[in-house]
Amino acid sequence: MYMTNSKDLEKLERKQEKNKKQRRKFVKKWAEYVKNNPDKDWSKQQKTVVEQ
Amino acid sequence: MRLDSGSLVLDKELSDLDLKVLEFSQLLEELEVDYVIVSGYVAILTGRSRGTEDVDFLISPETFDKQKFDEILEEGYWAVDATEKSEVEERMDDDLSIRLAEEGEVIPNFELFYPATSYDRKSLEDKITVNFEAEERKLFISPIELQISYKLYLGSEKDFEDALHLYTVFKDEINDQKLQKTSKQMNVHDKFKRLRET
Repeated sequence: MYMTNSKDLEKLERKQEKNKKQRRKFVKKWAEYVKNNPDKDWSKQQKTVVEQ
Repeated sequence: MRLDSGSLVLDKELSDLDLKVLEFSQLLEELEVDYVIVSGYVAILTGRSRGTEDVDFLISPETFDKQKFDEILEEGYWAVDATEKSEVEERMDDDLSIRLAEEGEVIPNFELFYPATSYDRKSLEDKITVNFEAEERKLFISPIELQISYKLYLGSEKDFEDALHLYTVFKDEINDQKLQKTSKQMNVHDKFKRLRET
């Protein structure tokens, strides 16, 4: 059984914050791709994700 | 994708979800129900890379009644969360809030609800017409400025990401003053500032 301590929780919190920032960065990057490319191009890729 | 004075033109490859939404929207239009799509699907329609279980339809109560509801059911939909007839009738006198799905399915479902706030009414009044290059059909979505502020107000990480997507895609076309105004009214000005800095 694993014991958690306050340092572990701090590490998890930092990891969570880092993930959040990375996700937001990606959301923005994808939105810029959508903005700057033909609809047929991004929607073909989006379809794969939405229909998973 | 072109957004210009109350109209959005899309030339996208439609997903199964898009096709189901278009079919349901067309039925509402045939029944002369005044509606506007709000919340997550607005971001998904315009490219956000995620799925959803439900699509939110704001319905004008003046254009909806029990007979039209029954006609929707006759067209092959069922009320997922209100199986008793009396329950449906009760909700029609309240905020509506009924989830409909195609017969034999539970998701995706279409949640119909009446306007509860001035923002809801504004969404209906100032709705955007979405036209598809390869389709005769169209649908109506809420103004993008309102959706960005509303998503920031809802406040979850998913909602923030939806707002970020809409803002990034449409920042050159939307009315910045309108966006500042609604974000102040909804008390999300700080979140909007953070979104701009992302």
